Amino acid sequence: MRPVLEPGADEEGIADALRALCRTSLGDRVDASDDFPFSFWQDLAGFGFFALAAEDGFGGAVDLYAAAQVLGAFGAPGPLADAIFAAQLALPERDALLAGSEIAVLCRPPHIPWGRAATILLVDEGVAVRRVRLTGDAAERRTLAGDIWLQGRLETAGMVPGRDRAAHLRDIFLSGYLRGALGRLVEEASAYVASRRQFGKALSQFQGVSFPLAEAGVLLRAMTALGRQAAFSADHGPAPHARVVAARLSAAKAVSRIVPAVHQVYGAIGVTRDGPVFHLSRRLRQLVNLYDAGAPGVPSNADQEAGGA
Amino acid sequence: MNIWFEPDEIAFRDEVAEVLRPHREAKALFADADPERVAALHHALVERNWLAICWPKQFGGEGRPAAYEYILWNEMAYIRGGRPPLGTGIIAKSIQRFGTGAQQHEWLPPIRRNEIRFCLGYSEPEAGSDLAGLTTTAVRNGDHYLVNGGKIWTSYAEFSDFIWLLCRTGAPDSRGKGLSLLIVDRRAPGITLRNDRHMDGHRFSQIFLEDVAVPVANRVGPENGAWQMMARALADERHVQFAGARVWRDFDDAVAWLDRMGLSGDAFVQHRLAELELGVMEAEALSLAVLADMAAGRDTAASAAANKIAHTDAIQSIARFVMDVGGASALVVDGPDGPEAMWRQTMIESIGGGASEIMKGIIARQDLGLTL
Ligand SMILES: Cc1cc2nc3c(=O)[nH]c(=O)nc-3n(C[C@H](O)[C@H](O)[C@H](O)COP(=O)(O)OP(=O)(O)OC[C@H]3O[C@@H](n4cnc5c(N)ncnc54)[C@H](O)[C@@H]3O)c2cc1C
Repeated sequence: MRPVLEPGADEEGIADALRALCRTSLGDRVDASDDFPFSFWQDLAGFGFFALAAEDGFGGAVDLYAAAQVLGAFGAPGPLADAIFAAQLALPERDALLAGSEIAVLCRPPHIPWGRAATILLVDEGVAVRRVRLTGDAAERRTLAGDIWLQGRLETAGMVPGRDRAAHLRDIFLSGYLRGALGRLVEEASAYVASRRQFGKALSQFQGVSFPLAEAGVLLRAMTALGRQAAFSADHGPAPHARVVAARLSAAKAVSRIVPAVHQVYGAIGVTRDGPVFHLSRRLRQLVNLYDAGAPGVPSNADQEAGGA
Repeated sequence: MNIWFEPDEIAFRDEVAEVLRPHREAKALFADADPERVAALHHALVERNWLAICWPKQFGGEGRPAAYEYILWNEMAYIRGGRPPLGTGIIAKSIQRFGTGAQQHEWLPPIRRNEIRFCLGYSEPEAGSDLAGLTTTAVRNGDHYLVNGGKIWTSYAEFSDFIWLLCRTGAPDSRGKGLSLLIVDRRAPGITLRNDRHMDGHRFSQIFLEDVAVPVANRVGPENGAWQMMARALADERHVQFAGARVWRDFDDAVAWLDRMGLSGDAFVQHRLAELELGVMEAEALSLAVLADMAAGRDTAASAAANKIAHTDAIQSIARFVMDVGGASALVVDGPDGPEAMWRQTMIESIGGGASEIMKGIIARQDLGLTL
């Protein structure tokens, strides 16, 4: 049987090196900040992260998945998935993108995530990628995860080829990132309920506490299997679209179920602004909204309706 | 026709709605509500003596039945109005039932006029769900108690004048049998606060108490008798804690937002909204059922627990659904009625006031006779 679920030595090496980078560049934990994480971005570029799974990069999709898990566990900020997406496209600024000096974002008109720092504005239309530019004034808006976006009118500047592989790698990255972050949340929550005592025993001894965490464990296993399967496929020819989308959707489903469960088992400390959960849960919820929200049958979702391009 | 209320109660509801109309934007429930607007709203209530609408007349109240209180706070919940912190409910009712004549004279008038503010000092770092395990001690020393220990999660303590403090006066292992309630001046020497916020901006404090001298005259009820008093006060308050109109308000705000975004015409969205509306109706009916149980003199513990769970489930489901379909627009911070704010705010509701799991335990034991 092929080792779909077994991390190879390369993957582990990349994950270890990236973990060390995050530890020095980000510290133990990342909270929202007003500014784009420029120095972290430079460190990632120096590492070769943006080119990781590109055709001319040093790794493949499974390596990207492993790297994404590390970044997720650190709650790393910035438009990481968009950077992976853009790195696969034939953009004239690609070298600068890989070097971290140009920053690409996927806009959801009229929203421009990380708009103050972004230099390359793209819109993913599902079948093609449109390059856009801002016309006129833009308003700054803060988001759930504490980032600052711009809101304004966007006009088309051209089309960019190469969307399919870009979208696949972005989705593989996302499912890895969400897996890493959720894994950390569940691990920390499990340690907490094992140590926190109420009614004379550890909270973990109440099935009302341990079962939701066990259910989280099931979701983590499922999302990991789908995520690795998608990454493995992408490394062995063009990945079937449904397989990649399933990985991303499984991860999104896990976020919407696990995040509330983890908030809950901590009790009050789990819903504090600066506590053990919110700094990650807000970013996870934001990523799910950015890449997965939109009811089935609602092709142009709220963002398109609200104005823009 | 409103089948739940008598004509006089419906007339009162209309009057309340009229009085609240100019205060629709006060939104006192929210962490950073405009203090002037909130003060104006609360002043409108004080002017009509509505903070004491159901207090017995002998204590300066209006002596109305519990339905009036339900109607008032339900209408307030729809405008996200919020009650002035705590005093008029749990604290005033405890003082009425268990306080001395002198205490009733001292504390009830300023509470009714919203001149003093209380915070609720129950939870401790090591005693949350298991409140009977708390360790803050009050040791008698002549006409004073010396209080040592600490409280946590105390909502809006920094804006309060007094702490309604639950502390241990009995032996360390006396659990619920060794607790007393003291009124403690929040600015007394030996008290320090560390202020913080929940993820929706709700403010709380950790309170440190070091050799705080509290007059014995500030103990409400018998020494070591607080547990029964708390149960009684809770029973007196259950009908107003989780108002049905709050759930309607969240639903209406969600529908309005989806409408604004052009999403409400979608068949999937409409189907899900119908399911959510059912949850809203259940929550509202359960909140009325608590009132009905109370009016009929039945025990309300299990019906109130069911109401809290239905209420919390409904508002969390509404917020999560809007986030699920709202895309990037739902992420933008857009005031207290926006989707991301609802997502943050509703998350805390299944913990504060007793976690959902504790509520389920009450239902399992009392409704189903199960031994846990
Ligand atoms: C917004 C907010 C406002 C608050 N305001 C106040 C206030 O003004 N004054 C005050 O005194 N306190 C206040 N609290 C504290 C509140 O009463 C406690 O948070 C609550 O009782 C739970 O205690 P805990 O947070 O220590 O959680 P823990 O008791 O540590 O429990 C953690 C989690 O474990 C689970 N759990 C616990 N016991 C069991 C069990 N037996 N079976 C199954 N599952 C279980 C629940 O999921 C719970 O959420 C507030 C809390 C919040 C969130």
